[in-house]
Amino acid sequence: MKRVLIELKGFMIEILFTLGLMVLYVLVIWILTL
Amino acid sequence: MVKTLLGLILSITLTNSPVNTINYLIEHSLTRDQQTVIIEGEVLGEVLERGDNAWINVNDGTNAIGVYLRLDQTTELKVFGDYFNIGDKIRVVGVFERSCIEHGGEMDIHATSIQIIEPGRPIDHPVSSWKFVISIILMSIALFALYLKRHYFKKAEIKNEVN
Amino acid sequence: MNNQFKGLKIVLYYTGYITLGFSILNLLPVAVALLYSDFSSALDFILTFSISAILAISMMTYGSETRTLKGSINLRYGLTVASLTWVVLTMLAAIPYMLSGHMISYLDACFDVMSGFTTTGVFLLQDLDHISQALNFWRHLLTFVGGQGMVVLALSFFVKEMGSGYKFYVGEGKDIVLVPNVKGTTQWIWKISMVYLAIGTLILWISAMGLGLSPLPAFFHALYVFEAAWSTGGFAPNLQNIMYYHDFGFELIGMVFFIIGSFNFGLHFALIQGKKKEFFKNIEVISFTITSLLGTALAVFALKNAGVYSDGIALYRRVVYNVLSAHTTTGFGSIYARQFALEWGGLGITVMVIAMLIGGSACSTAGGIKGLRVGIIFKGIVSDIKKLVSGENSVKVVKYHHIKDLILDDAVFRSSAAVAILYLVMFAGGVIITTAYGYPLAESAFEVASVSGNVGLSIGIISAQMPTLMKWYYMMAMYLGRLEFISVLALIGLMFKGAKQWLRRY
Repeated sequence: MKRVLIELKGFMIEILFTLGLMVLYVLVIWILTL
Repeated sequence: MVKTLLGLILSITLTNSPVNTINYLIEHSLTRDQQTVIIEGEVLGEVLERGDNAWINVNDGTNAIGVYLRLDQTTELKVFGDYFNIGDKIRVVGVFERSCIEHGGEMDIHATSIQIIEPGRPIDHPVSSWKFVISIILMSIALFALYLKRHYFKKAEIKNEVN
Repeated sequence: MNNQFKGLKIVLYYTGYITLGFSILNLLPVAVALLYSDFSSALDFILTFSISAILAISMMTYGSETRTLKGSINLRYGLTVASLTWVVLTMLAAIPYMLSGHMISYLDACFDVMSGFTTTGVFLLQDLDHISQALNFWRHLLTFVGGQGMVVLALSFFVKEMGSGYKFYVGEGKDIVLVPNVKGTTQWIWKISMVYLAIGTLILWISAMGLGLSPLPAFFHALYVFEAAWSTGGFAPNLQNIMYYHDFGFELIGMVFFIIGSFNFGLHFALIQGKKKEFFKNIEVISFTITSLLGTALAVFALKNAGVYSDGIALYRRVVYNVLSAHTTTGFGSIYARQFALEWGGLGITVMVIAMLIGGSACSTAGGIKGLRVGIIFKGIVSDIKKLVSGENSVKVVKYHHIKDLILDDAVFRSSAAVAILYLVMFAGGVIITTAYGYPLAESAFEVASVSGNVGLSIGIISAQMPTLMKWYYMMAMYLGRLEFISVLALIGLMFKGAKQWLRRY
């Protein structure tokens, strides 16, 4: 059970990191359109 | 009401104007941007409702494009294009947008009016008899070969282990 | 075992084994066809199943003495099995395409299959909006299986037969070992993919219904878009590609999965083992973050300045989206192909070409030279320059982190550089051929980069009407790019050796 939780956490981190990257691209646009 | 009248007037006055193909519009998107255009094509898939409005995807043989219109303008559409059917062929009169601000820069057409010029019809996909016969024959051979394989490879394995 | 045809027998035996597995895969579209009472398509796949099974068993029977071999096989045979399998399966998987009537020639059908297997995403199929659900299911299934790897699929099931598993595995362009045995590694790759398949399809299904699709179609659209995103394939069920949906949310969800799909399987594995620091130390993640930020910045700058887009959302949906689609080698397009040619300008196209060639991560479903190699080459050159400038004679060890801390020595640098050069040579050759046929330079570079990096975005050159030589070259480029050259060279080498031996005898 604990292992499943660790695995799920791993998936969550990947998704969150990717969302973070996608936000960075928003920042890129924001900076360039200032 | 006013919009429908305008649409009617536009489609009458523009009936002698050339119908553009979608590929033509894409190729000349800079010059045709924001202009009223006419395309004729088949509606695909299904109506994608967005509140009081909707999207329909129209394929005219050269390409396919999204047409944004009011939901009540879609009620006449009955047949949609897919594997089983050729969809209703419609004439769309609308404003062509190279990079529609309302839709995140998408290239689309905001329809003022649509008109069914040819109702959709089913597409026939007959099962040819030769295909049927050959399939049965080959499948039998395949299943038989599979059975032989299991049988003989198992025997060889046992023989191997014995050695 | 008789020495003369020993190599051929070994190679054919294992190729046959994998082909047998492939034949069973054909039964899935049969089920889909029956769901829609589409008997014509069901028969197409039953036929393909039968032909594949018969061929597979013939190959295995011819090479059956291989089963008596003790010990593991030569690496060259392993590599050859991988590359030969891809050729055989391409020709077999093209059969349903041909039977559908949507292909102008068998070459076109093979081209589309190769594009699917290599997760490229360009296609020559005619009238995509009217194909059967079974055929659409097949197209996307091919890209999902091809992304993981046919050899990987076989290894996860059949390893009792394939004791030399690692050698086949490497032949398909992967080398990451997640757990000490190959069967375990390949099973983990599939486990990770299946979990994401379940999560991704579910989320996309909900989104698809939200954007207006009815439940059953929405399910298939979600499944296909997930398979194409995760495998960084880029096929979509309709001609308008991702534009069919007219939905920012749907695009974003797809983007999440195609970015994650471009990451190394070793990275996924490390994360689910709890090693979260891996994300921040990994050379490929760092490399991708830097190059993708630079790429999007340059492209946004270029297109904003040219007045093509000024609205922030449009810049995200039409510029950032496509740059990332290119960089991860996915191939979903949120604009029409010709718009790249007409609107993106020199800088925009240059950014795209470079992004496509750099590609995604090694040991992922992505293509291109790969972030790992780019990172290694970059670090290697920087350290060389430092040595020259500082004039020191001390030997400083350069390290890089990729799951583990590794040393960047000459051998590592050289193998990365060699593959990078092969990609660039293949790219140059393609540009020469394309421009020789009269296509403009920028467009040629775009199109060739797209096939070389297994991307799938098109600027409009690829079509059923294009010259046959170009179809062949592009198809070869997709194949070589995906298998990263080595195993194909092994196949060619073995073929030459066999031919020489045979000629000498007669």
